[in-house]
Order: sequence, then C-alpha cells, then structure tokens
Amino acid sequence: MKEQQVTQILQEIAEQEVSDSLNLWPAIRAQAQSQRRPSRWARVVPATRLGWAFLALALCLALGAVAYAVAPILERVFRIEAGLYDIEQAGLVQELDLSQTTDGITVTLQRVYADANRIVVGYTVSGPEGLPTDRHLLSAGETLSDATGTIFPWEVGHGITGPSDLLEEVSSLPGEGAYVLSFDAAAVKGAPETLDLRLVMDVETYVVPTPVPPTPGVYENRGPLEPVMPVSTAGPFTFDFSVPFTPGHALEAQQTVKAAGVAVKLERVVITPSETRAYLCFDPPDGESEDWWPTVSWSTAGGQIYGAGPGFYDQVFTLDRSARTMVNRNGEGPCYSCSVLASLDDQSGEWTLTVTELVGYDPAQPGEQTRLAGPCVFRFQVP
Amino acid sequence: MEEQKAIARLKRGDIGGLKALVHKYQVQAVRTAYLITRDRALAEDTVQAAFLRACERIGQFDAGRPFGPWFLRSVANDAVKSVTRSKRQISLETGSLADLLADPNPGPAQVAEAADLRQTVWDALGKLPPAQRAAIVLRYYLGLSEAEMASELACPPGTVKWRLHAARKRLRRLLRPLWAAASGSGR
Repeated sequence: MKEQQVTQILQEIAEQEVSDSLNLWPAIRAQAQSQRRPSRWARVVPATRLGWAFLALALCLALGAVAYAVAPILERVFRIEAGLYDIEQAGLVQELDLSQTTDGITVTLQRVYADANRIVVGYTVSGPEGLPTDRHLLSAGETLSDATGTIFPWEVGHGITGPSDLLEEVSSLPGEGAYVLSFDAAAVKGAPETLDLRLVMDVETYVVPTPVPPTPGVYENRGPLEPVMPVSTAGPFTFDFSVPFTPGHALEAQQTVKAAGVAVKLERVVITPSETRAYLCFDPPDGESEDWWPTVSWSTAGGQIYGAGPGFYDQVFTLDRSARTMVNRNGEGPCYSCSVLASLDDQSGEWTLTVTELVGYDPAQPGEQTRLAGPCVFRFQVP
Repeated sequence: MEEQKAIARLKRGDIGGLKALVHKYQVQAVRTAYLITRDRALAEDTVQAAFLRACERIGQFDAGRPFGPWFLRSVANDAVKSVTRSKRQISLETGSLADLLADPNPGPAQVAEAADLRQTVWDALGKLPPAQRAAIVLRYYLGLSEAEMASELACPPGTVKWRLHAARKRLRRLLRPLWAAASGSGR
C-alpha cells in the first residue's frame, strides 16, 4: 500500500460520512446572534505588520519607562463608554477583589454591575513573573450564568493588552491586560434585589512576533502577516459572586407603524442607568432570503440625537461619540434590540424613535444591499 | 473575488459575510474535523465554534490571503483540542504506548479477510494520538506542506516534522500487512 492511497482513502471516508448537502448555517447564525459581540481583540491585537512594529516598540517603551499598573488601566477601560462612566459616577459599581491563579496566570474580578439591560464585569489578567515580552494574555470563552442556569449572552466589551489604540498614552505591562465585558440581562425575571452569578473564562496566551525594524525611508513588502493563534490555554477560571440589581423602568409602547409596505412594531423601551434599549419587531420584507436590519435614530426630550445602524458595536458611531449605540437581533425571531449605551434616565418628556430605513443583506450577493426607506416614527412619553 | 467581498463584509461587522464563507467551506471543514475527532457531532460542533472564532478574529486576518487554508488549519487545531478534551476519547489518550503496541496488528490473514480497506485505515488512524492524526489529515487530506502545517498547529516546523514522522511510522506499522501485500503484488 502506498502513501498516496492514504489520501484517496481519507477522501472516501470523509465523503461517505459528511455529504455535500451539509448546512451548518442555521446553527451558526443562531449562535452568532446569541453571542453577537464586537471583534474587540482587533482593538488590542494589531492587524497589520505596521501594527506589530508599533506594538513591539510600545512594549519596549513600557518595559523601560513608567507604565500604568493594571488596576488603573481597568478604570480607564471602564470609562471608555458613557454608560459605564455614568454608573461609576453614580456609585452604582460594586468593587470586588476575587482572584484565581492557574498555571501561573492570575485573573482578578474587580468590578461588577447589573441592571435590567446589562450585567457588567471588569477584570484584570496577569501572567507569571518573567513571562517573555512577546507573550500576550487574552481572556476567551467568557460565560456568565445565574443560579438557575440561565446564560446571559455577550453584548459589548473592551480590553487592553499592550498599547491601546483608543486610549492615548495607555499601555499595559507585558503579560497584563484589563477587560470590561457587558452581558445582555434581558433574561432576568422580575426585579430581584440581587443576582447570584457565575463567571467562567479561559485565558489564552499569544505570541506576538517581533518584526525586524524597517529601514527608514525604504518601503519593503514582506508579504502577508501570518495568522495569530494561541500557543496555550489556561483555565477555566470560575468566579461566584452576587451583585445588586437595578431594575430601571420599562415602558410598554406597543405601537405599530407601516412604511415601505413593512409593519414595524415598537414593543417596549427599557431605561436603566447604563443603557436605554428599545425592542423592535418586523417581518422580513423578502422572506428569509435576506438578512434584514433596522437603522434607527433616537431623539430624547433633552434634544440629544443618537443614531444606530446595523452592525457590530465598534463599527457604529453616534453623532455624540461619547454615547455609543448598537443594534442586536434577539434570537431567531424578527425582533431587534436597539440601544444607546448611556444613562438617559434623567431626560423625562417626549422621546422619538425613528426607523430611518430597513437594510437587507443578500448572502448570495456579498456586498449587495437592499434598502427600504422609512421613516417609521414612534413617539412616547418618558416619566 | 466573492470570497474577498465576504471577508470585507465580515470585517465591517456584517454577518452576511460569514454566511457566504460558511456555505463555501463548511463541508470540507467538517470532513477535516471528522477525520481527526472521529465523531460526527463533535466535528460539527468544532466547525461551528471555529466559524464563530474566525468571525471574532477576522480583524487579524489579512484579506489578501485565501481564507480557506487559514481556516481549515485552525479547524484541525481546534479538532485536536476538542478530541483531547472529549471524555469519549480518554481511553485512547490515556492508553500507554505499551498498551497500543500490545494491541495485535492485523496479520495478513486477517487483512485478507477484511472486506473494507477503508475500515482498516480508519482503525489504524484511530490508534494515533489526535495530534499525530491531525498531522496526517493536514498532510494527506488537505495536502499542506510541513511549513504550512506548522503555522497553524502553533508549534515549530521541527515539531510538526516529528509528529508527521511519528504518525507515518506508526501508520506503517499498523498497516504493515497492507504495505507488504501491496509491495508483493507489485513485483
């Protein structure tokens, strides 16, 4: 038997077991939507060769100069978003100091917060002393659940390891990182005084290559960057904790407005100290062949305007950049949650939520979009 | 071109881009994972998770490169981790080398009786540790070079070379009667 036969036999075995008609997309889409979250590591792990060079340089500087300790960096990460800054200023964030060490890696859960829209956890990760400077630690597989086994899906997150590309002059020490994650709290039943929660995560170690310094003034095409994969995984790290719950207030709107032949329903609005969220539903205008998303804008009684379109959190910017917005799909159904990540609970009066258009993405025609112009305008009173 | 558009779309956070990539690579990915995990459900779970991880890490991906090799190598890597973590595979992983060697190889008579050559190869592959099995799958099923394999197995090329060498050696031993039969018939 020749080795070439192995190739043929492997192909035959694989084709016999897995047919060409396999379709994983429904399951993957469901998981992607339940875990819909930003590509946060793109913020902290450079995507270009120039980025690696910058990171390596910044790491060298961090070694030889004054760098922030991890805990202060966590505070900076916490304040990167208006909603988190607001709850910190209001004294609603609970400080913890729960640490676990596995394989020389320590994860410390430092800050937690919960309301009817989201549950926030802030933690730091530190590697063992003497960790090579080309190693970066990133948390992975974070899962938050309560005592009943309910799993709260990801909402948004931020993190820093190495130099930040969002916060100027902020850089962690090698082998350290600070992260703030928000999970969707919509599954919380009623208005409990506290939530008993469990946070589980792994920590992955990445090797960041040190590039050869470029020759000044000479452009050198070194080809594509090799993909970065973890070289080791530590964990799981498990934290059990309780956090006070802030229910905020929910407005049952139950309004339906039709535009471009599509009936859009605003079911309710939930206003909490960290986030304001509207729940919208509409049947896809073109069956299931396209992936439809609403583009919305908010106008509060105070006259502030916030806009949000389809896409991940970090691709969406508001007119007021201090308060970010986002749109998520809720499960498999045709319903969406549209959020402003800021404390707007002091702006009582008439608010307007406008669905400016519906955008359909055809998976068979990447890059093609179908746009149905609105507007669908909803008005409601915030007490 | 369609693939590059899909990746660009995914980089913008548009999940429709992921759908196009899933449709293009899901079958080959599940086949790759199945050859390593030997468990259809585990293979599908592994590939689903790999697509979601690719979605998360698409920011690190150079859109000028083909997505397929990068993704399929990561699937193989994840499949090794999955099968190592799987309790169903503990008996294979905890078995000592002596136990495996003590497992009698099929003799010529048994091989002659074996109606299915594929089953014999399949059984032999099953006796390899997952990392060595992945090395065989990457080399012979996906047709990757040793250097290409090293980039995604997160180990130096020398380690891949050793794994491949060890896997080949063991496969040869396990399939010795077949190799002998093929050599004999060729004369």
